[in-house]
Amino acid sequence: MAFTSLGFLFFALATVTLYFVFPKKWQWLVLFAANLYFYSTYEIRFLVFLLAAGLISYAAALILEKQNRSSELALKNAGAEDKDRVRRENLKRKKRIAAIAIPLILSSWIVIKYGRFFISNINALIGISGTPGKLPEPEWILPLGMSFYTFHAIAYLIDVYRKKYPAERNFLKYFTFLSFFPHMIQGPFSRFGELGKSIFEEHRFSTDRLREGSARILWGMFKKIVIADPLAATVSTILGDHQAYGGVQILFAVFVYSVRLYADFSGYMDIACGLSHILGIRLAENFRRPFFAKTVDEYWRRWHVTLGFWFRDYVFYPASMGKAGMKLSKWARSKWGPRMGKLISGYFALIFVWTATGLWHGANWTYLVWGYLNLFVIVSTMQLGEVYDKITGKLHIRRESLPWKLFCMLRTFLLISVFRFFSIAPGLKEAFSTLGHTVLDFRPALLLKPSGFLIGMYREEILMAGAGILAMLVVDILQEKEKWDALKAKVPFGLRAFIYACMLLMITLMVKGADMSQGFMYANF
Amino acid sequence: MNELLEILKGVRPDIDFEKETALIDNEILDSFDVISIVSEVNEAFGVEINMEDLLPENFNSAEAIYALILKMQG
Repeated sequence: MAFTSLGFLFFALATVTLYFVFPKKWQWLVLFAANLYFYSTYEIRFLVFLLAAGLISYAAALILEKQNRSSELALKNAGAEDKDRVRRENLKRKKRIAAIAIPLILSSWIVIKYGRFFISNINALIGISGTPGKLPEPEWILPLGMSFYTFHAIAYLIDVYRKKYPAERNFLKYFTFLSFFPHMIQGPFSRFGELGKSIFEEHRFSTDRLREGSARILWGMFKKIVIADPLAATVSTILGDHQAYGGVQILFAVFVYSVRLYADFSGYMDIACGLSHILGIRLAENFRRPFFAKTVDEYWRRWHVTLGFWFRDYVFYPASMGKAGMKLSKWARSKWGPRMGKLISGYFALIFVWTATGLWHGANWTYLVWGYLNLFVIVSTMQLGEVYDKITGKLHIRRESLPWKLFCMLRTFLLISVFRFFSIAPGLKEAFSTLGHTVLDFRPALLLKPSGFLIGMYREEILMAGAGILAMLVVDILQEKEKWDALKAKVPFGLRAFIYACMLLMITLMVKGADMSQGFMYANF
Repeated sequence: MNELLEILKGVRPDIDFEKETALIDNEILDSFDVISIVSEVNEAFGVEINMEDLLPENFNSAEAIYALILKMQG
């Protein structure tokens, strides 16, 4: 059941109604049932994977919790000379529990998501070595939301390990968090300590929240149906047959893809956050106007923010603060001075972060290259920071001036879009072929012929998507300048109603059938 | 406390650590700053700050970091 389908709107309406009709103490049970129903509309048999991830993380967290408590008791009773030993033993036991539970949770996700990739690479090696025969390559379908709930379960387990919050004793409650339908398909990556607390609080119905949440849902639908969906035709037409087009057209299609992905993914987030807001539940935000980023590093602090937080907390910190990271830091400090000592353990950790980020997005070498391109630019920017400061200083560039900021934003957008040559292409060969063709057959003269760009779109679609992009840009600028909330409050009711009616009309004109739109792009990851 | 302030200023000279009270909450410190601070504090004070201690409330201000060090020193 897609978030933009009529069926989902009825489902959301029924969930909200039942949620506020039910006694407050049991409101979360309505969510539990809604989650199950929502999941069952896709593939009910895949529920078994979700249930397994839930049961393993729930049980392991309880065991860790028990270990934490018994260690605290032992520490209280231990003499000063024994405290270190008690701590070490506790840590050892906890590590053992985590070392069993985490691979167990990850195993089915890894096998289903990466099995084919792994076997196809073995087959390629077999082919190179000249050995006859090939291993059969599986065609498994990744269960809905598996890349998200697997990470939710691991985050929960590690947080309990780190004593951030106690383990949840009620499995149904924990499962309600894990299967929470607004964050099931595309995130955000939520933390049990925050979202769990918000889900299990008692909520009163609020007309203010209903109004605000509904407006955000409408805005999300608008972004998805009026902007993202029509742009798909241009992207697929040009990139699907790149040899027939000039480099300037291909680059344009990649820019369009970037805008489309933003409208699609942030549109989903608006619907998920808006619906949660109506229920009184706070869902973490995933976007902070990413196209205003002036560096690639900043872009990743604005795009898919909760994924970045996940990798920071569960990959970056452990890798940089672990024994290897700290040793590397000391070694670099003694060899190259304090600056490198400071940076090297971070760079070391970023290798793990970007390998994982690349592979999380897809089981393909293209995603690994995409991840390493991001890593290369981020590390280069940090490493050359002092040189960059000197050059801009010598050239008397005012880094706070608007033209320079705009230049930096465009540069970042261009870099991110070029990286997308790899995340879009089905294979490395195709990615390099498209990139090569773009550079070698650029055909800038085509810029004088605007009709050669928005290929595959109807005139009405171009006009409406164009108006939608403009509206999205204005909203983003106002939000970036922190003027959006004040402005929204000042808009009179009549004008607000008129804007909503226009949005609704545009959505209705763009809708093609009961499903209303195409599937969300990030659901494929 | 003075030794800690020296370390913090060494990592981020642009921040007034005596005034700031939301270093993590307001994203004034980034993850590279945090690991630098942890590495230098561990070495200077002979403590071992680990993942369990990486909570915003322990790093939001110089005072909070100092309180964490004192707690770890027992």
